[in-house]
Amino acid sequence: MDKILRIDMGASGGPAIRTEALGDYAGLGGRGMTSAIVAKEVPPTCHPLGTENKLIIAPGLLSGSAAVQSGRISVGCKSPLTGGIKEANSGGQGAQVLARLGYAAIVLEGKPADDTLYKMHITKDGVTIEADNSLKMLGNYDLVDKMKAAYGDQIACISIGPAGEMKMASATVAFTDPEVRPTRHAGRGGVGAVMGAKGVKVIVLDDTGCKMRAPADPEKFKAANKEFTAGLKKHPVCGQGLPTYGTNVLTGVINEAGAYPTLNFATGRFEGFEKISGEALAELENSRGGEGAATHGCHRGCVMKCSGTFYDKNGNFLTKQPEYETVWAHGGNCGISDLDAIALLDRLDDDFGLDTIEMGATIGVAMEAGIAKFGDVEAAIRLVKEVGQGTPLGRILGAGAAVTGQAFGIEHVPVVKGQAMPAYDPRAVQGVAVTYATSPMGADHTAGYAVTANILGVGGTVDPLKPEGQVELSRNLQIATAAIDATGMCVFIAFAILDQPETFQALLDLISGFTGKPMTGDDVTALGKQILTWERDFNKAAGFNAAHDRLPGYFKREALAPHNVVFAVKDEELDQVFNW
Amino acid sequence: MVASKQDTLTVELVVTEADLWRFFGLLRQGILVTTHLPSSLQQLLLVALEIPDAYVRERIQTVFLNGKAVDDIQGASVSDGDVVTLSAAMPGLVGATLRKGGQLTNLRSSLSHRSLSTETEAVAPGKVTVKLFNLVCAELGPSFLGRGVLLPGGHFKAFLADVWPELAPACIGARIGEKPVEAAVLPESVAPGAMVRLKVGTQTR
Repeated sequence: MDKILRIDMGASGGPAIRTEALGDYAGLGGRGMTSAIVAKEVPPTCHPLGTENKLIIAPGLLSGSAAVQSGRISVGCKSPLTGGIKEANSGGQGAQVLARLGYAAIVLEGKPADDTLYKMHITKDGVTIEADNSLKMLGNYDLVDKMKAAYGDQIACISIGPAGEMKMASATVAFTDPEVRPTRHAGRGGVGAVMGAKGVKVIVLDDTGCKMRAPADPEKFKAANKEFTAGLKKHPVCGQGLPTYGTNVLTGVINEAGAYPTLNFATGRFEGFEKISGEALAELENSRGGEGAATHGCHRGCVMKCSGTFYDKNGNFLTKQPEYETVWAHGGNCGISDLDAIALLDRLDDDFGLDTIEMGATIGVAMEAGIAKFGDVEAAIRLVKEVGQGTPLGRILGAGAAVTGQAFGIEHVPVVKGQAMPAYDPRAVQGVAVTYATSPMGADHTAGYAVTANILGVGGTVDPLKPEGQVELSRNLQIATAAIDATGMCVFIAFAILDQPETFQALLDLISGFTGKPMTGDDVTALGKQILTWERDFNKAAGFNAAHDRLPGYFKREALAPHNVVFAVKDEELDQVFNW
Repeated sequence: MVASKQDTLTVELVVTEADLWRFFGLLRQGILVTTHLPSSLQQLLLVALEIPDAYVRERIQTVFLNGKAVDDIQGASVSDGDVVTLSAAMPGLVGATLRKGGQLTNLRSSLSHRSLSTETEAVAPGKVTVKLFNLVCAELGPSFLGRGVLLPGGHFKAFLADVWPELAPACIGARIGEKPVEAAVLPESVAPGAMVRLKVGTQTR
């Protein structure tokens, strides 16, 4: 992983390929790499779909090695959804394969003069790019089938669906899983629209003949990997809860807490939660059977296996196990309690290349606007299909919740910086809402996720009795998460490294065994702060200020049942989150 | 558990072990526990529900009392009509914040249970709804069902409407009170307003 692949899509005579040394970007991976390049090379005030924006695809620092859970890949750009910097990350095989091919990043630059669509093919022997307009408006599933027919089934694909081609602000970049299905997505912020603007439909990766990336200190790396794996497997969340039920196990608990946004964030509990709970989903998947039913990893080298495979009533593959956020977005948020319908909506989103959170939130807003009734399954499916087909209504919905709210005159639009909130009502869990409000990414549940006792200590001692404790916690969590996102590690490792100091130490040893450089908790903190500083500076130069680090006003005004709480963190406190 | 004064319909079923999970939805929806109240939450778990102490300390990591996260189960007092929810440790930042104790409780202060004095309340028999989620349901569910659980008849009737057409053919034995019945007639034997004590045993076919 010692080079960067740059393709100038606007070069005269067609796309121009060049490979560069890492230079200033040496030692960076994942979100560290994408945010560094965007911050340094993209004019903050440019149009996100214009020639000056760049799309960066970067595997994590440890991706392509034997390190477990190291299969996350970051996609960065100026976001067409938020207007600020964006890093969206994904599982799937893309990170491992791209890293083994030796690339620390692919950077798509410029913009074609016309609407020609291109496909790229990257192997150990080099890179080719060619026009292929036969791919136009193909869904991700048909597209990947076509690539398998052309290049064999030992490939990994990075692609966009029709939503990306139509440059919708909720469009994703899809990554194939170990079964070469386009089930994994860099979902947030409209990164797929930027790939569409670059005219790139698919990047086909084939690492045949490539070796696994070798650590600098093999003995230390091997021992740390073993210790780290054991730590994950013995942990009750990483080793038991997630493999058994997946992330959707949260539905029952969040609903019970009264923090489950229901009917477009109107209330905190959903009457039909039991039918769409993680337990019900796992029971349904297990009863239908099939390979990888309720337990499946999104990439090779995953030991947690928090995903699964959803087969329909007839035993045919439909989609991967819908995650908690997807089940919430298309389920409780829209008053829908039918798992088969939610799985179908997930499949449609994946095929069209749409962010499930943004689409579910958008349909919730549309339902409040009277476009459809809450709980109307057929209407929800029809609306997503309209987005995929690009009808006039579909174009509005595909632009996201904020635009849909504007188009239909709705105040209740649960967004921050234009990005829809995920599956936790900010009035109920106010510390997390601090992260929703202040993250440079817009409302994002993963922005403040990585929790370790060490990091909490490094970032400043937190007094749980003081109200500002949640601001300090959010700061520390955002710092730690930014650093984890740079490693390519799945954020779900957070629980094991929070509870088990020896597992956190194993992670540090794993990284230093791989790089050959010592790593401490302080180094992790410094990296996280650096990344956040790049991102905040970019947003500031793009026109963002403190007023953008706020939740919509109605969250302060309208109490959430059943606990009748409003968001009560003061603006002055929010302004202290990045005051380090 | 103390005996309920209200008349209940006793339903005993025998199914294969492979089908027992089909009843777990009832446990997630909530069973009724009759006991002397108020009592400490810890007392309810250890004595009334007969959950081993080590299991309460180690496995049950997320506890709600009336939808509020509990950090101190010894100090939390349970009264008649309350709802207690038991879960294993949960993923996600929010899942972590909801755990009992821990470093992140401040992130959900508006959702935290605050202990209130119940010294003036006279101890008397009462009912608490207990919900079992995720691994806790899978692990405690078989013994709870084997001992028998008290349910609102409406919940059980809705469950039968949903599940029974598929499950009835797999039912090895069914009794209402002392009387054996055909599995097929079970749904029509339960009145929505009744209380149901459900016992589910397993047997190999």
